[in-house]
Amino acid sequence: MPPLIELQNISKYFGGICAINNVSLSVARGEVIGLVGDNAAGKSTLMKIISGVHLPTKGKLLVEGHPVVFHSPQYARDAGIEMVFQIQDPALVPDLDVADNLFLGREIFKKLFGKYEVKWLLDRKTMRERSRAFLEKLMINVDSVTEKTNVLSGGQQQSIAIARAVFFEAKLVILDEPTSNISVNETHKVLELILKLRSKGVSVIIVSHRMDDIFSTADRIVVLRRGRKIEDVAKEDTSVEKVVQHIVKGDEEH
Amino acid sequence: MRFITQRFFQIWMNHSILGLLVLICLAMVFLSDRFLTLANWANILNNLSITGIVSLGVALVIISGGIDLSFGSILGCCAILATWLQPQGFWTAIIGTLFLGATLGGFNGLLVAKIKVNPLITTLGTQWLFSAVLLILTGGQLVQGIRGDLFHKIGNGQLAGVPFPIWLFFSMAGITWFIARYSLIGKHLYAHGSNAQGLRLSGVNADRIYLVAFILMGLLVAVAGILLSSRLVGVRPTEGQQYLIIVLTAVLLSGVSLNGGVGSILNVVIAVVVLAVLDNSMVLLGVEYKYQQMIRGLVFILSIIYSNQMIRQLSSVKVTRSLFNDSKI
Repeated sequence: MPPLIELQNISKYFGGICAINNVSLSVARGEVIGLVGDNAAGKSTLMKIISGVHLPTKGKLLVEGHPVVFHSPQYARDAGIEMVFQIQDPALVPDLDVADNLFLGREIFKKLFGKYEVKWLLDRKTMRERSRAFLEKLMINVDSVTEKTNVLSGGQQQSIAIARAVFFEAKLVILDEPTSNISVNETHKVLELILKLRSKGVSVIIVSHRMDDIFSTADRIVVLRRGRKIEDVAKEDTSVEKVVQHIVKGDEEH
Repeated sequence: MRFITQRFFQIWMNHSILGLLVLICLAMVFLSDRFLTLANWANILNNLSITGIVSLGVALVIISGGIDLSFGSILGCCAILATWLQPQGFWTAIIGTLFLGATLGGFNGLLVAKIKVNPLITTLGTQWLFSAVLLILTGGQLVQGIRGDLFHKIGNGQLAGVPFPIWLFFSMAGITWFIARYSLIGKHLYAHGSNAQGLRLSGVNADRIYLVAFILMGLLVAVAGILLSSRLVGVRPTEGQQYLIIVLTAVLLSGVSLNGGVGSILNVVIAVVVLAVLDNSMVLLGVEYKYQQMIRGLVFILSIIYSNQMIRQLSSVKVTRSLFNDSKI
């Protein structure tokens, strides 16, 4: 069975600057990959290539063995790839309630006589019921799905943003610093949620500066430095010290 | 206990404008015996219908994260076109005017949503543009037309004993409220005002939603223009300008946030009534015009101080909530 996503010799240039230099990477189903690296190592560029924000300059992208070209994030989403951005760049709409946020862009409409779908009339009741059931399944606690998301805590918002990504059967979820700006207690809950996704067969790429987060969730750790991939190992075969050393010093052989 | 105070605060936040209306009415019942008569209320509601319909449209644009300062000029254009088209037949005038309103609103919308010019600057510019075109076409003269019977009735007729403009205002308010609350477009309008980037990342065509907000405003302003044209014997080219301040006051007083994403159509209706009742009260009490202006100014400033205070308290509620919710996700 081919890997879910495969990157073959991807390079990305912004003008004369090489942001990603010949990186290959594959993600299997239900695998959690921790992507680490210093600032300007190319982490966000690589994620943006996978999620369709940028087109690669060179190289190929394969989804389940088929070559694809993501012209926009919508293409990536149609292929089952969802990206959850940082809290500073919120994926949620603060003035809408939880259920409205979960169904944003994929609303359910009222049916006349139980048959004819009215394409502009929202069926909030059904959407709220499904949201409630879904959040319960993922054990995400909110007082009510009719609460606006701007009154929720940072961790709750992050959990709902992740839940939103998997709500519509995403195969791969990319998380950009999912635990920045939230408390220790909430971090724990978010990490639990990531492990729960893995057990449901969803692949996750997690980008974080916190080694604890990476080591408590990831199966495989990939280190980037100045646009090159310098390390790609299973978590068991490495340690925090080794990874940090790679991030800071890089691999002299390359 | 925290829950109760929070609920109370939320209810107060949502209905404070209604409280204000009740207060003014209670005071007026004691101050003037003419205030609570049927004739007086018919008069109040009849007078606010044009301001009210325009306010609904402007509220939609501000909720979607924009602002429009050119609605006064659009109103003037629509009123004059309705007067001109009126001899060509009733429906020609109605449909032609609605089309013009949607076009002028859509013109603003295209500049703002597609070319991404700041809405304040765009509509400040189009305000001059539209009124200049109007001055050129009319030569600055009063536009008069002989009204057909049916057309005359829009502004002056009655239905079931209630003046027709009141019917028109409340049906427009009902439609706008329904759109804002129950339709897909309504939800996306709020979402665009709140986080346009987030809406875009959800795969929604956010620019189109923004454009729709301006077109809806243009349509509502056109309805008000038809009403204005039917009511007046002659329309001055500058007729629409006087509505600028009163409409913005009503919309902001209702709690629609200039940041976008927040606001209730029901409260816009109540705020329009509050301003009309205030005007009516001052006339009933025989307040001189210069003092009337002063009181209007004071009410405007006080309402802004008041709403700022509300926002500050709301954000402090947010902080306490997130502290309390920390233990569970």
